[in-house]
Parts: sequence; C-alpha cells; structure tokens
Amino acid sequence: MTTTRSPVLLLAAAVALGTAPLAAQSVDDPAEILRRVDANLTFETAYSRSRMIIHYRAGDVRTLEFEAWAIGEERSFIEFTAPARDAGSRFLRLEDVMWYYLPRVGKSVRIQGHMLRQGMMGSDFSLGDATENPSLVDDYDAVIEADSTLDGRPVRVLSLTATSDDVSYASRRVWVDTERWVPLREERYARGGRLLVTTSLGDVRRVDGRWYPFRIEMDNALQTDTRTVLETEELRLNIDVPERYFTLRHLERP
Amino acid sequence: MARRRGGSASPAPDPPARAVLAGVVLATLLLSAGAASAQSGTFRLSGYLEHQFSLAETPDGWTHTDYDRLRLDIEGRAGRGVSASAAVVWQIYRGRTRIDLRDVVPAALRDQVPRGVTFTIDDRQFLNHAYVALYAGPFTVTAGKQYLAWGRGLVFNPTELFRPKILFDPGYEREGVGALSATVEAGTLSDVALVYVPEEAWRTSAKVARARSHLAGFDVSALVAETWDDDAVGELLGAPDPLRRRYTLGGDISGELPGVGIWAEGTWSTRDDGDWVELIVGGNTTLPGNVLLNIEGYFDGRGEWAKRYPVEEWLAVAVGERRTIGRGLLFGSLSRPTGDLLTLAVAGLGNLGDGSVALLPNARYSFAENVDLFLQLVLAVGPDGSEFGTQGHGGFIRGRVYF
Repeated sequence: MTTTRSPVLLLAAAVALGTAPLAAQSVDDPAEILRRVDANLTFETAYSRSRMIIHYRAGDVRTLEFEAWAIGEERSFIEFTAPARDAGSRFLRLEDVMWYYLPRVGKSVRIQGHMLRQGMMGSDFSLGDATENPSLVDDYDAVIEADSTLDGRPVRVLSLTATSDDVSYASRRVWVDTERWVPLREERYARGGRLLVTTSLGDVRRVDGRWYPFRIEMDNALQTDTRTVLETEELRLNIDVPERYFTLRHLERP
Repeated sequence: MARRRGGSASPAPDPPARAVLAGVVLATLLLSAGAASAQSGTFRLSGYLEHQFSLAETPDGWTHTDYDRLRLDIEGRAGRGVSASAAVVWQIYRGRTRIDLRDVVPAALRDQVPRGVTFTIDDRQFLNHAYVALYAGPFTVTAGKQYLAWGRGLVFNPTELFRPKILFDPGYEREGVGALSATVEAGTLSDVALVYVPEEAWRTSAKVARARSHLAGFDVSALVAETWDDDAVGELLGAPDPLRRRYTLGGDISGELPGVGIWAEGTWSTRDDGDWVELIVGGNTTLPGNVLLNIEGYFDGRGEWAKRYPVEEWLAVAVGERRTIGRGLLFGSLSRPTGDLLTLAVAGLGNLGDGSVALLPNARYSFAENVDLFLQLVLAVGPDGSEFGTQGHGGFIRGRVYF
C-alpha cells in the first residue's frame, strides 16, 4: 500500500510535517534532516476533523469545519460541515487532479491546475497546498543556515532550493525542531524571491507514536486580507478508510 | 422564475392565505422530522432566506420586481445504503409580475404580437428536489426529483437537456427533475447512467443514457437522449403545435494544457422541423494578480446571424424555450477570487452576429459568516433589434442568509 505524507490530509499537506519516532540527536547532514522530516509524513491512511479559522484584517473571523480522509499520497477526500453556507461542499483529489462538488447545484467541477494557487474556501491554504505532497528530500537541495531556538525549542534553520521547476515554490526556509523533527516555521518563496507563504506550527502532540502539530497558522501573500489558523480536533492514523470514498460517485452522492 | 403561460385571461395566483397555510404545514413537518432525527444524528436540516430586488428598463420606463425565497433542506441516511434528500422552496414575488410580450420584442416587431398576451410570474411553493437513493455495490438507483446537471460549460450547456442555466446568472441553483435513474460505476471515475423522466405516457417520457470517464488526463462524457419539446410560444398565442420528439447526441470534454484549463461541449439534435448543432469551446487561466479569466464561445445552429430576428425567436427566448437568439455568442469574465470579503468581477456576453453586448459587472460581499450579498448590473449595448440591445439595462441585488 502506498502511504500518505499529509498529516492533515489535504490542507496541511505541504506544511504540517509530523514527526517520526526518531531519537533526538545531532544531525549535520541537511539531506538526512529532510529525510527525517519526510519520514514523519508517511501514513497509510488517515482521518481528521478540523476547524479552519480565517482572520480578516478588518477584524472579522470566519470558522469552517471539515472532515478529511486519505489513502496514500494520491487519494484525498474532504467535506465541509460548517458553516451552513459551506456545508456539503466537497473536494476529491486523485493524484494531481482535483474536483469540487457544489451541493446546491448538484454538480461537480474539475479544478484546473492553474487555479491551485487560489485559497481553498477563501482561506490562506491554497488548493495547491491541498494537492501537493512534496518530498522535500527529492525536490529540494538543502543547506544548514544556522542553529537557533524558536518558542523555546531548539531548531535548525534550513534553506531549500528546488531541484526542478515542477514544484510550486522555488525555495523555502524551514525551522526544524531538532528533538521532535517537527518544522515549527516555514517560509516559501516564488522564483523571483518573493515571499509567498509563511506558516507557523504549534500545539505539538504525540499521536500514534509520532509528534504532530495540531495548530498551523498560515499567511498567504496572495490572500492579502487574511491569515488562517488550522486546528486539528481529531486525528486517526492507519485506520480503515473505504476505497469508495475516492470516487466521483461518492463526491456527488445524494 | 415561475412563468404561467396564457393570454390576458391567465389564471390568478393562488390565494396567499392558502400558500401560507401550506407552507406552515410543510415547515412544521420538516422541523418535526429534523428535531426527531437530530436525536439519532442521521438527518440534517438547513436552508436559507433570500431576498432579491431587481430593476429593468422597459418601453414603459423602469420597473421593478422583487421576491422573497425561503428554502428548507433536509437530508439524511435512512440506513446502510439508503439516503434521502429534499428541499422545499417558498417564493413570493412583488412588483411587476405580469409581462406583456409586446415589451420583449423590438419596436419594429411589436405589431406582430397580439395585444394583451402576457405571461405572469407567480408565487411558488415547490419541492426543489426530493429523492431517495439506494446503493448496492457499484449500483445506485435514485428515485424522485433529482439534480440532472451535466456538462462542463460555464454559461452555455448544450447537454443540460432539462434545466438550462439562467443566462445572466448561470451560477444560480436550478431545481431538480422528477426522474428515475440508475447508475453503474465502472471504476473510480467512470460510470454509466440511465435516466427516465416520466411524462403522461411512456412514449412522451424522456429517456437518457449517459456515460463518463477519465481518459488521458481528460474528463469525457457522452450522452444519447430522446426528449419531447413542447411549444410554449404556440401555447401562449393559443395555437400550440403538438409535442415534438427530439433525439440528441452529445458530450463534453475538459482538461488542461500548461497553465490553461480547456473544455468543450456539444450536441447534435434532430426533430421533425430540422437538425441543429450546439457547441461550446471554453478556457480559463490565472493572470498576474490572481485574476481569473474565463472565456467561452457558443454556437447555436438554430440561431440567426442577422439583426432582424423573426418574432417567433424573440418569443421563444421570452418564454424560456430558448436561452439565446443569436447564432454565435461569446462570454468572458475577469474575477479575483480571494479570501477577501469583497470579490469584484466583470463579465460580458456578446452576440457575434449583431455586435450587441451585455456587460455584467458584479460584486459579492460576505457580510457575515452566513450572509452573502450579490449585486449585478446589466448594461445593454446595441441598437433596438439586436439581441442584447433590445433588452434594456437592468440589475439586481440579492441577499441570502443561511441557517
């Protein structure tokens, strides 16, 4: 069976990097650090229930709730359950193709690849964040910039440069907790060097033998008026997830 | 929009008191069901309240029509392999609800329409959809008023045989179709559906077979259908033709090239009065600044390139038999879908034959978590006699509160 690298299945796929039960030790090889981070993302199946809280600069706050299921890297399904306006909206991702179901129209539409930079349901999490599960060690060359502390945790700061044009972000800076191997902060840059996304991860808890960030805050430069906090309320790993969830029929089910 | 066809003697709307009583009874039943089922956690009750105020320029000057719309949705799972969903809608109109057909045709053709022929927009209470779905392995059987929403087109959907989109408001929801459908899943992204839409007799009932799949990165579908078209214009003028049998072959395809989404959809239809083709080709891309560009072209073999469209064509559009009158139309829109509470967009529909245009600037504002406001203007550009120039300016503002 293939495995998924997305701890929060969809939205946090590219940011929430869980931690494998590896012993804390000094690691000076940046590729090895990335391997450990990547290893933390490896689940066979997963289910989560989360809240996405969108904070608007003007002071408004909108809260969305959703459930998500995933099998391996390629298959994810997400259904929004609140608020009333968005309840019943669903997303299906199969490999690199994504569909969106509009409940009051009774129809699903394919989401084109160029639209993946758009925010999902108005949040700072882009649709691309939901579909992309990058292997950091495969997709980026890394160098260690510095050792530091962040929120009282020892971190190693890595600078990542993409090895191909196929990834969404040309470069990244990652602050990796060197005891839990959890990234605590990440910055993602466009090819021109523009900062696109900043994420902060916290509320790290141990789940199924792994350390996992239950709170992720994202600020997307394309969503100028917002920042979004993703709070995971329930997470179950390596459970039975029905294969039928990942079909168009289930996406459009009555 | 509810339309009752008829001449000057069109029946009056249902008495309001009766409508209200029916609504209260149904709401009580729904709420009772929701309350009872909430205990078992298998049912969900939701809905919205909507108000729309619209203005339109007519030969008599500016007129307005507004409505209140209450929709209650109930859905649930009655057991393993069984689900049910229904929504009831009450919609009450005010303002100008009786339309003189002479007002919807160009001035030069007005004398060809008998005086006093009108259609009315009536208050409605109806089931938007109400169906039960049964699942067993790869099979799904759905019985009742259900969504039959097909095709990839953004504005024009040749394969939408039963509930075409509203031309100036294509994203608006449409009610279901009373039908019996059976779907066989043939893989993750493939299925075959048979749909039967009953009418008075088997012979005049619609039958559709539709298959879809995902091939070489593209979503594709094909359908074959037998439907029956009624003669709404003739009915309105008191001389209806008999139902006309129509056979349709159609399909759609959507996918993407690097940086560009593309789609196409088309049908070939044959009827005793002729054959015709409808075809759309569309694409979209994201421009700098996260601006989404959509473009869609539409060819309707029944349409006319000329500016002097026959009066029957105008009336067919007015009563909803046809959505457009021209042979070639182009839709384009620019929007910036972001997390901002306010989204601005501008769209336009152009008739390639007569050069008329309807500009549709719009704004969507998320007033609160469950409150949306939508404003759209219709700016008609073109002379009287052209498709969009004849319609006059207009617009509407719509507020919706979800619960």
